[in-house]
Amino acid sequence: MQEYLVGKFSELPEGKGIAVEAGSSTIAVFRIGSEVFAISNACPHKGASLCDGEVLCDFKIVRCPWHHWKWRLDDGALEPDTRQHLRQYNVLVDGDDVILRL
Amino acid sequence: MNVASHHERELARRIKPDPIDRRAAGYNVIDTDFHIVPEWEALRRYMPEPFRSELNRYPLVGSDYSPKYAIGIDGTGQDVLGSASTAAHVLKVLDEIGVQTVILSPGFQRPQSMFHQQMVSVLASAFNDYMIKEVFPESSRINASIMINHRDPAAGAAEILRVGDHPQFVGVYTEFGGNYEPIGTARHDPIFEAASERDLAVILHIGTFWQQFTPLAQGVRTWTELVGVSSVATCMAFTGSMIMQGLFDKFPKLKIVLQEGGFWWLCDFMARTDDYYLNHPGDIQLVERKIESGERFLRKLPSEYFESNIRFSSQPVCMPRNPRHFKSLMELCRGEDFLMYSSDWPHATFDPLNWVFDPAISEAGRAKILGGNARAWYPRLRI
Repeated sequence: MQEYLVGKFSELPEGKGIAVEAGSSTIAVFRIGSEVFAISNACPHKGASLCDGEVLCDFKIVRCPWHHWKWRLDDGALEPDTRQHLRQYNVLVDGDDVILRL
Repeated sequence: MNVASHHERELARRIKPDPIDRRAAGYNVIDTDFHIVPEWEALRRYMPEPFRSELNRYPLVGSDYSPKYAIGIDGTGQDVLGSASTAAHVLKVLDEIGVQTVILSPGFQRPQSMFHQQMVSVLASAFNDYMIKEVFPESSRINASIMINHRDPAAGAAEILRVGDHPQFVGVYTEFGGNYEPIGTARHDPIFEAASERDLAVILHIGTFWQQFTPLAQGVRTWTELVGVSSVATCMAFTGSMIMQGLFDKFPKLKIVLQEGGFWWLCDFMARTDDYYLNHPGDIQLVERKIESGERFLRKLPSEYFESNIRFSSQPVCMPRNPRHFKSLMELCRGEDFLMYSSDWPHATFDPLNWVFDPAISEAGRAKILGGNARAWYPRLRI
């Protein structure tokens, strides 16, 4: 297992995504309130960057910027067809540090 | 919590990823459907009076029965990615999406279904003059199709004659859809004759869906029924009318481009029309063009006219769930020969070119879809 420091929790934008490169992976990280979520950045539909998607905070969903596919941040499932999943990444907050574990 | 000490951690690098496949840089990519919408005040400058003074906005057509109330997309054009009105804006987006050369389509299609035929023609002419005066001079990467009003064939043909010699017009743009008579009927021949003589491809883009006051439309409740289904059904109807009513026998050089009417239906359509035609060809001699020529039959099987006369813009490519089926569908529908890449920027069905790098597509097919097929189909394209 490898750990990557994403940055300070206090500097993560609320209700927006950022993309980070960790090893060979490009990961979208989202902060909603006190929670942080990490998913694969590329939408499996046509490859858009989910870090640029609109975050529906109340539902913990990111909506793809190209075709509006709705991905659940808490379990990585596609909302209207939960058989489809994005890759999720283990992310934790250590003090003010946001850490990705791959 | 078991947290590793800091010295074992690497710093993740914050990036701005480019979702467009970088391999596209190795191709001279042609986008065959990209929408431009002139600012209204710029467009109206090219209208004759009294339209210039009195027509103060893009006309909207009828009441809007489109079920887009729950799809989270505003505006009539589903412009999820923005709206380009100038050459500079178009060029900026082309660079972002990996496209070298573009064939622009007007992005305000719905006025074509207005009842006021003269107003449709005025809007079309204004768009064409706007392109000539304000867009084409800015870049040779930009081409466009001549917007016409096809429901008035004499006016449509006259517009082709008026502006058709401009080298950056490479096609003629109009629409298919449920509000229109299928365009294969003989009364549209002045348009096809003018386009064919000038080596201009005729582009048929989805424009309207089920005609509003029909049982088909009244049963629509969802976006997928309307846009996903009726576009395919009406495209098939238009294609059938062109082939079966002898359009391509009268104008053998004519090139048609079908846009946003689906593609995977092609394999069924070809087999089905060949079979029905061979079972019952007796009515072919009754269509207007065959009465005129005295011929009893089509000169080819219906399926064979796709090779000689019809191509498809690619978007939206709807991938089957089983990836192996993509390769099968491409073979069955001759996708490497018949598809020309299109983005449909900025609409809700926007397709980046990444799908063309699917391993199911051969390297030769990739080059054809990204540009080769368009170069062959738009003879006026100078690249």
